[in-house]
Amino acid sequence: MPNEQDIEPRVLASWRTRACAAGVCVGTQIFLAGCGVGMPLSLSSAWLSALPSLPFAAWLVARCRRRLVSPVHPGRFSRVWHTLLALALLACSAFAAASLVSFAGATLVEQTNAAWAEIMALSAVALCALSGSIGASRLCFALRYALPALTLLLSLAAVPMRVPVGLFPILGAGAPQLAISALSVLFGAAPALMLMLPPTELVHRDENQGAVPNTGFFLRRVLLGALAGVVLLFIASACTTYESIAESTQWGVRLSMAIGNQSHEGVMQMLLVLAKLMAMLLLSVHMLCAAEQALLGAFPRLAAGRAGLLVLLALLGACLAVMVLFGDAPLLAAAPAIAVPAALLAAFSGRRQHA
Amino acid sequence: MEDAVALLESLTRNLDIFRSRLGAPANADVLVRRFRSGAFESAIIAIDGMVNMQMINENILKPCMDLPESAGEDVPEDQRSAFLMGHAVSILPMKMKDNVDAILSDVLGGQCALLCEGCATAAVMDTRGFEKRTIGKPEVEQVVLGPHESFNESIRTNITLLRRIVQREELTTEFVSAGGTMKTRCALLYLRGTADEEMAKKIRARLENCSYDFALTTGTVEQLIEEHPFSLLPQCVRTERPDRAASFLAEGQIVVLTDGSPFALGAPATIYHQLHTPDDASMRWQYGTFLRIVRTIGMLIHIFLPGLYLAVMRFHQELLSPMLLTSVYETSSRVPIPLFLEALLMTLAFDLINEAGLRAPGAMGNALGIVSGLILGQSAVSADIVSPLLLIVVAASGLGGFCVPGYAMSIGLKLVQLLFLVAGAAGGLYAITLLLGAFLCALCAMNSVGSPLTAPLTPPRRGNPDIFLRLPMKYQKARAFFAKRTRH
Amino acid sequence: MKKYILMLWLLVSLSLLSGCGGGQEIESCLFVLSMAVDPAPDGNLTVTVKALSGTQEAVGGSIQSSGGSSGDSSSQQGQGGDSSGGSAQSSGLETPEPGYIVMSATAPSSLRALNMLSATTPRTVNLSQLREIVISQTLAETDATLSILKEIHSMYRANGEAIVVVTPDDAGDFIRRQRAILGVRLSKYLEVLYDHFAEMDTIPPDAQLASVIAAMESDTIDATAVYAAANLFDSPLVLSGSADMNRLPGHLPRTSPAENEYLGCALFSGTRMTGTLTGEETGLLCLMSGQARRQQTYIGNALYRTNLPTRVKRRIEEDGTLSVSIHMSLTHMAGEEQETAASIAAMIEREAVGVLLRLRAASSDAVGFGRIAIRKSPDIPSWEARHWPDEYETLGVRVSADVKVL
Repeated sequence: MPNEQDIEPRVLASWRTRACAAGVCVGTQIFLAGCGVGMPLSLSSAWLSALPSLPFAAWLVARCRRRLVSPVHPGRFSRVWHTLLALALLACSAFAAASLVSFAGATLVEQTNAAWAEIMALSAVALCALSGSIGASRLCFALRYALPALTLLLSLAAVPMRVPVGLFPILGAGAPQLAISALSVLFGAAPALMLMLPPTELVHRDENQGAVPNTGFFLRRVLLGALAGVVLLFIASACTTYESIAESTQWGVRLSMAIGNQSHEGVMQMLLVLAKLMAMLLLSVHMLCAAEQALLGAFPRLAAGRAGLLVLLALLGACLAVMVLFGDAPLLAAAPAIAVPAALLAAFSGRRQHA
Repeated sequence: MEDAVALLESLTRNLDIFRSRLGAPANADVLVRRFRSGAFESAIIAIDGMVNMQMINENILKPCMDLPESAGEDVPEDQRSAFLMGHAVSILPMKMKDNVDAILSDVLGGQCALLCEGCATAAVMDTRGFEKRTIGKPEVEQVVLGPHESFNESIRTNITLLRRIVQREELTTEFVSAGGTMKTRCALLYLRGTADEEMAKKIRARLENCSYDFALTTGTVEQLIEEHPFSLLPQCVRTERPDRAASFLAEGQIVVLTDGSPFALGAPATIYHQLHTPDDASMRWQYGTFLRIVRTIGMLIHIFLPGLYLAVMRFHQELLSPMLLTSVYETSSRVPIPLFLEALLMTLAFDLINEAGLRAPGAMGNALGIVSGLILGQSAVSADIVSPLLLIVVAASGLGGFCVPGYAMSIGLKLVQLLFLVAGAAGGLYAITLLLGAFLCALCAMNSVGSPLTAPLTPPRRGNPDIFLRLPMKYQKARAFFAKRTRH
Repeated sequence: MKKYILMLWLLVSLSLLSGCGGGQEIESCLFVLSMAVDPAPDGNLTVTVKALSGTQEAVGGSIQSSGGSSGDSSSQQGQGGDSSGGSAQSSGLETPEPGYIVMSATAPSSLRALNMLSATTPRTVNLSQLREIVISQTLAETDATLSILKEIHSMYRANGEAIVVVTPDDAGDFIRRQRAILGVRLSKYLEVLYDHFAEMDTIPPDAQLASVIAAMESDTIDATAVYAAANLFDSPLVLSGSADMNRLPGHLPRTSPAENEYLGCALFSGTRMTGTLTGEETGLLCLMSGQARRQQTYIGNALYRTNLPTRVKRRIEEDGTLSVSIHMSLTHMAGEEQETAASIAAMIEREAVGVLLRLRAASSDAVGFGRIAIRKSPDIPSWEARHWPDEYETLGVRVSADVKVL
């Protein structure tokens, strides 16, 4: 494996940007999965059930690195592989976009028409995706410390931590529910799949095909982001009683769990909400851009006129329309299934491809 | 494209070609002077008013006409122009050309061409002597500390001003003509070995391939160079100060000067360059850093304050303290127009005052500020047409805009402010956050002559850490990241 | 192609801009500062709100009473005035306060009453600036409190920091009587009032709306609310006890233009009010909960500065006894010292045990022993099987105090 010093600085910078973006995305998705799927099952022990996502993320990253070093050769298998990857990433993007709308509807824009909020979210994702993954990755890189730190600090400050009332009982609703919850939130690590594709600015640079940093390079960044997501989930879980969580049927309300008593809280809560919204937007955009890149790997002709992006946006819009009509329950029920293609893709990425 | 027309050996025919191209004798500006220079005839072609007549008379005509009749008898016909240049003419900048278009272009630029009978090569000499503005003080980039010289419209003077500061053998000047039929002379200056010459090539190619008929000003040239014409923010940095342009050169940027324009362009540039002023470098680092922070806060207030105000008033009243809410509630109840319209009108009024102040001459411009700002504003509040708090918001936002050093940047940010205003009215903080994400993604994806606009912050690049904070000089040991060689 | 996509998006988005955003002009809202809920005949509720009127002129109530009159001042109703038509005992009820308007409506639920206010005002009721919710004691002693508070909090997005107050008086009259006697703005007056009393530990620390709802829903702790009443100077009842604050509100021997007194604590067991604590007892409750903020205390005739060098420890002993241990240091500041450290410690122990016994008698685990008990249960089913509220009433109590006088 090449050392970091052996790789040209600008190439290494691109990999760093990509890896940091993956870290932010994984952390955000773990938090979303914990609040959306984990909490209804294990109540205030959702953070505990999110812990297995860390080793799963590490395994995914290791497999991604192997795939980067030995890419899939063109052929039927490549088309299937890339399509599956695109669908898995699109599902992550839809999950994040849905969480964005649900969260905004529970906090900032309760009185706004849900369809209007979704159109705004879709427009924003589309506008971001038009700049390509380069813009979103660079933005993630710029915010790689600021966003998690700000979110964590604000959560700690806005939430009464004198008594972590939600910490007990440790096993939440019970060991079986905790186990099911742990399995269900594994898909929180799925955004790491974006590392199976190289950064777009390096795609056409043939001389750097072999210059992929070692696994530790990616692991450090992804696991740090994932840990931030788990810690955030811990703060949200620990400071709210299980009874209050059980009462909260809306996903968006569970995402905003931070009940506090201080008078300065209004502005801090708002900043916290905005930081979380930004993280969700970045996650959705990254996954969409990565899905586009994967789709172009399967169907190169879709590159003309960004047709691939249009197709994916249409599918994303359809997922959000489902949310308008049926609520967030169907999406939350289907979301854990993302872990399946993630595991399949990772498993098949452990094999060397022969031409 | 027509084939390049070469000079002929016959002097008379050459002069006919030039007269016909320039429209002489109807075109009274054209000067054609035939004279005897030793053993053969010669002629000078120049444009009246563009040349230094005294220089032509004393350094070309007199020495040539004073030659003995036998001078140049043995010189081959095709060497006659060179003979005169070597034995009679005493002007330093000189080129030998044989292409009619090239000679015409130079003559139109204020040079004069010396043609000889039997010689198909002309000597083109720099005899520019047109009237130009003297070196004055900067109009736009005024500083408290630091030099007070600025560029003027003469490209040669501007190059000279730069060379006075950057006295290095690596300083290279390349002339490029931009434009179709009406060419504008531009100069690309850079330090060989420091600047990335690939970027210079890119800029040169873009200027040479300009499809417009003319590119008269720095602004047009900037639009030829930039990569994102639909972006709201500029991708090059502009200055009218030689010291600042010299700092661009030292950082590894390419400086583009345009003949007829008192501004220099620096490219590639980052978004942080737009917030730097020459005063930052002239002051101690503490003051420079503090002022940069103030400027950044001003910029953020300019962009976000009106939109945030609308968002809070329409969607998030819970953020207001009850005391403030009570005051706002009482005043807003009396205003007849919706808040969004009120904000738009006030913002437009502010821009109108701004524009009118720029266009109104001299003392009137000052009085305009007082009349419109104080009297109109006060009257509008008294008449309950606008609420006082909104007036304060718009004024504070406007002040923040004035903190932004670059005029082009401030206009761009004004447009961004309007977008956030609309977003705040349409969807509150939710829409503002989404728009901010989209804007930042677009900004991070932008390049300036191939160099990321938001580097070195993102993507990470090694280079001068003088980005946001003005660090002490001892920490500025590297050049900007886009230089070929970042270490001093 | 990218340009066309962008233009298409912009056109679609811009065309949908009008009317769908959900924003409201500020003057279309009715910002409620105080809210009161009283029981009404036939199982109805009367909701009274005090809101910003948007003008500095007094709105509502044309009768100017000359102080101390009774009985004849209730017949007229001014513009936008009170529709419940209750008789008033003092001048403050009819004299409208500049800048605020008081309205009320009666309906089967608080939600419907607020809807009626919205429909008749006509403004959208906005509870984001709510500072207090006053509930009549009669209502608080039923199971209705939680549903009322939850409706207000979730459906109307009421400010979670609004203080929940229980009063034995008519709650609507209580908020009518409320004036900003110091300063101009009632909102600021209330904010400072609650902060000040919280600093003195004479009101419970977790009486905010969101905390009260959370406590009522939880098995691990019981809710407390501020207890308040009007002091109409009829007959100041001097209760036993040496401390001045060892009283209930409405009985302080004082005179002031502000008739409402906020002192003490309303105890809840689950969703029902089951008891009260005096001001001094509330101070001990704050101490035992680990949320004491009081810096000074009077013991006898001496003033001491109090300091808690270590956190107050709450435990459940092996034998099930609820135990609190307090370490405190007192610095003498003024007055004649009459007690020793040991006697002060004994006094604190005695009074704290008295408070714990009162809490137990009221079935109110306001101190939060349930939060300690839950740690022994590995999961929620085993915790719920324990039936902590029933177990709590059977447990013994013990307080140990270690006092150093410096």
